[in-house]
Amino acid sequence: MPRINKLYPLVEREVMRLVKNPSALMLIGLLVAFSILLVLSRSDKKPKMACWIVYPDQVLAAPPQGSQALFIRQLTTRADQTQNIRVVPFSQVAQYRRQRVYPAMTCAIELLDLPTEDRSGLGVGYRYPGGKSEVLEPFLRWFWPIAMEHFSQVTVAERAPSISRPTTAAAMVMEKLQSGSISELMNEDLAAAILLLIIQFVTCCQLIVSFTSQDRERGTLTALALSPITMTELLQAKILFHLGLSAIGSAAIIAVLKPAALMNLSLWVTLMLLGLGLASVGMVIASLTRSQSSASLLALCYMLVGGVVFYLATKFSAFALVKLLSFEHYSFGMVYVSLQRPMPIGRALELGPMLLLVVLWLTTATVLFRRRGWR
Amino acid sequence: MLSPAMPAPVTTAVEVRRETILIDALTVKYGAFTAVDRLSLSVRAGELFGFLGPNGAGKSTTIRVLIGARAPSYGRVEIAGHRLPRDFAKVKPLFGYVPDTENHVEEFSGRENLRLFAKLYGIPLTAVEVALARLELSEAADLPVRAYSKGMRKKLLIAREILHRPQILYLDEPTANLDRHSTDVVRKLLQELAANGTTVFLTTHDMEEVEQICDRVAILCRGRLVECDTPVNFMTRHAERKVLVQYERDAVVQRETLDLDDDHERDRLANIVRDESCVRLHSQEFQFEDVFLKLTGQAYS
Repeated sequence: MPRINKLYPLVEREVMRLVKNPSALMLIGLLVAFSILLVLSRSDKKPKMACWIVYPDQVLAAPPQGSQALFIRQLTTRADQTQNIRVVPFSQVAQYRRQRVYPAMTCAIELLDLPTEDRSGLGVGYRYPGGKSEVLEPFLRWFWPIAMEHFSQVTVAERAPSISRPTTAAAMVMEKLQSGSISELMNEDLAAAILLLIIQFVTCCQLIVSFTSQDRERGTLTALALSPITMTELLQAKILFHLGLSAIGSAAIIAVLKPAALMNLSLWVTLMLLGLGLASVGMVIASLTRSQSSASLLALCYMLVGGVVFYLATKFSAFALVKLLSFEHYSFGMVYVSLQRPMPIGRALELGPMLLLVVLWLTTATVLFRRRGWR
Repeated sequence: MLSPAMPAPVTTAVEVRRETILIDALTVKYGAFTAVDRLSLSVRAGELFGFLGPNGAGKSTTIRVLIGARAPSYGRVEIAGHRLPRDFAKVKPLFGYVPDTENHVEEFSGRENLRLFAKLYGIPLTAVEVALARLELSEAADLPVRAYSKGMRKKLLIAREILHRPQILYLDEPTANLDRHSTDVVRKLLQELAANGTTVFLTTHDMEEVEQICDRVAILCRGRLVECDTPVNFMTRHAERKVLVQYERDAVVQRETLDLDDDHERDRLANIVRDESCVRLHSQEFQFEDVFLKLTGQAYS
C-alpha cells in the first residue's frame, strides 16, 4: 500500500519541477490555445443540414414508365430545385462493416420498400446525427407531400424512427484517420479527439520519459531510491502526477471545445486509462535507456512506429493484428464517441482489451523500473 | 516481562564497537572482467575507514554493492547485521551515501533539495537548517543548485546525507573540489560523526586526508585487497630511510636520492661524504603517499 506521507513530497517535487520548467507548461498551453482557435474559427452561421433520399438500386433497372421510377424521377427533379437534398441509390452510400455511413451534418430518408402494383406499402427508414430527430422535420415536410401525391393509396411504414445512430460511424473516422484521408470528415469533435490524444501523449509519455530519464542521468533517481521510499512508491508518484497533469490539460481542452462532455464519465475513464497506458510505456522507455536524448528519441520512434502500423493495418491484414495489440487503437474511437454522447455498450466493451493491454504495460514498467530503472 | 533471574542487558564496550560492515569474499564481475576479487574486510561502528586504490581498483564497485545498487557475483555482505541485497529495504534507512558526482534536483534551491529529503525521511524541517549551517551553506540556501560551485554542490550532498543521522556514511571522494577551508570543515564533521558512533567509510585520493583522519585504511588494487591497517602501522611497516644528497662533480651540482637500507647506495653515500664533494644532505620524510605508491606499485608489478 502506498504511504501518503511519502507520496506527497514526491508528487510535490514533480509539480515544482514542472513549474520551474515552463517549456512543458507552454506545450500544454499551446494545445489549449489550439482549442481556443478552433472555437474562435467557428462559423457564425449554423452549418446547414443536408438530407439524402436513398432508394433501392433495382429501381434503376425497372421500366422507366413504372410507378417507382417515375416517383424517383419526380423526387430528383424537385430536389434539384433545392440546395441541400440529394436523391441517390443505396449503392452510392459509403459502407463500413455492413453499415451505411453518411457525411457529417447529413440526415437520410431511406426508401426501403417502394409500392408496386401488387402491394401498396412504402417502407421508410430515417437516419439523423446526434440523436436529434427534429433535424429531419423540414425534409419530411418536403418529402411526404410528394410521396402522398404520387402514391394516392399508400400504407406507410416508418421503420426505426427512434434510431439515433450517428450518420458518421466512429470506426469509419478511425479508418479514414489512419489512411490519411481525414480532411473530408474533419469537424470539431474529431479535432477535439485528436487534441486530447496529443495531450495524453505529451503529458503522460513524452514528459514522463523526459523527466524520468533526466532524473536517471543526473543520478537523482538513485538518491531517491536510497531514501526510505520504495521503488513502487516512486513509480506511483510519477504516474499520479502525470495523470493529474493530463487530466488538467484534457479538462481545459474539453471545456473549450465540448463543455457538455465534461461530465461524461466514460470519456474520463477512457482518457485516464489511455494516460495510464502511455505513462507505463514512458516508464518502460525511461528504464531501458541510459540518457535523456536516447529516451526522447525512443519515445518519438514509438509514436512514429505506431502511426506506421496504423496506416499499414488499413492495407495489410497482418498489421491489423498488430494494431489490435495496441491500447491506443481502442482509445480513439471511445474518445471520439464519448465526446458526442454517452458511450454505447458495444463500444464500451472495447474497454476490456484496452484495460488488459494497459495492465500488461504497467506490469512491465513496474518490473523494469524496480529492477533497473533507478540505477 | 523479564524474569527476575535474567540480568538486565548491559551495553558493553565490545558491543559498541561491533562490526557494522562485514564483507566476506566479495566478488563482483562485469562479464568476464572481475572488478572486485574475493575482498574480505570488516568495519566497526564509529570507525573512520579509508578505502584507497588507484583508478579502476574496484572502490566504487564495492560501494555500489554496499549501498545495494549492485548485487555481488559471489560472497557475503552484511550491514548492521542485515544481509545484502536480501534486506535492502531494512538497510536503506541506516546509511547515507555521498557519491563522487553530485545528483541534486538542479531546478531546486539548496534548501528545497534538503527539505525534500527531510520529508522523505520523516524528520523535522529544522534539521535542514542545522545541516545547512553545519556545512556553511545557509547564505546560499535559497539559490538554485545550478548556480552553485562544484564545492558547494559537494557540501550540499554531504548536508543531505547527514540529515537523518545515518548509522553508516559512505563517501566517495568527499573533499574533491573543496577549498582548503571547506576541506577542513568536512574533515572535522566526519571526525565528529565518527566520534558520535557513525561509521564513516570513505574513498579518497588525498593521502594527507587519510593520514590525518582515518582510523584504519584498506588499500585495494586490481580488485584485490592489498593491505588493511592503521595509517601509523602502515608507515612503521613500510617506511623507507632515504636521504637526498647534492654533490659537486666537474663543477656541476648534482642531486640524488639514496636508500639507506640498500648496501650499495649506503656505500655510495659514504663515498660522496668522504671525498668532500657533498654540498647538502637532507633526510627525506616518508609520506603515506609513498606507502600507497609502493604497495600499489608492487601489486601492479
